[in-house]
Amino acid sequence: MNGAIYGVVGIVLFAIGLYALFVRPHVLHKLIAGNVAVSGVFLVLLRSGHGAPDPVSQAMVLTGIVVAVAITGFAAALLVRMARVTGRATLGRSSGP
Amino acid sequence: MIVSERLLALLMLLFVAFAVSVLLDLPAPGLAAAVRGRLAESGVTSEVTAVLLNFRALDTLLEAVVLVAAAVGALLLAPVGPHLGGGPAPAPLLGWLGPRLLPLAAVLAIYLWWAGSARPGGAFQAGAVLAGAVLLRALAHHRAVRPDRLAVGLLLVAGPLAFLTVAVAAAAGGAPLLRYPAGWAGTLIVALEGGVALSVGAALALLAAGGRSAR
Repeated sequence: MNGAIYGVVGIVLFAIGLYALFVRPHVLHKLIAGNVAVSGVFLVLLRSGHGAPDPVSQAMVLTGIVVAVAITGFAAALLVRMARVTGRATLGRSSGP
Repeated sequence: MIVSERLLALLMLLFVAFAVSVLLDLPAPGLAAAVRGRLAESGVTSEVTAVLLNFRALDTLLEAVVLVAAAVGALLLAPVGPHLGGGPAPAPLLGWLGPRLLPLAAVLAIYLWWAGSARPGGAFQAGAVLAGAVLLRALAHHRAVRPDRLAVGLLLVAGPLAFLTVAVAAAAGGAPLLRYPAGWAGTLIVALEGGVALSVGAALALLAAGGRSAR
């Protein structure tokens, strides 16, 4: 039960990240929001009943962190390219520069 | 627009309430006993490393490939960019410290690489430390990250190449993909982690530094 706090915090982080991902038009905001949501998923995976987290969960989260970093870097490069080509870094109708 | 944002916030609150109520009934992830039972066969004494480099080595192989693909993709999108550290002169402390941190980081990375087989540590931590040191050196105007160098490209693919070699060698011998030959698991895991650490370091440094200098 003492490990449940990680799961609860993880769910809240995931919801915050997902909300910002939908609401924020700026792509960089979306990127950061996605990272926040992913951190929430990692926390849910790392929750444990008692003692240290499960080693398989730890390995999955470690893999997930590396993949998230790789995706973030690639998405940032895409964003820079998008801003250079289109002159804007936002998605959606109500967009500013 | 505001109405839909409020609706979305309400949906998120409902989701949190639902997910928490489900989570409290779920048992915690529990494969620790299974891992501990076969740990002696894995070649290492760290449970996490045993999962990463032996029981689920295929995941780690694909992860290394993802990292390399992301770095290559980022370079393709921005082959020529602003030179990292090419702006105004670095602060005196960074200018002095940047180049001098690399040997220290190399020692730390080697320790992390070696420690991975017995305690927390391993290829990814070691690679992250290496990338940090390389980037600090670039920021201190000492030496730029050069994606157009052949050596950098070779470092980038070292991990996946080593992994694929082991995988194909196992398959050629009639064993399942990535099954280590008996008695060699520990040695091969340390060697593979070394290759992956170099790849991770190169990929992270390239992802952060972007394309080659426009100068």
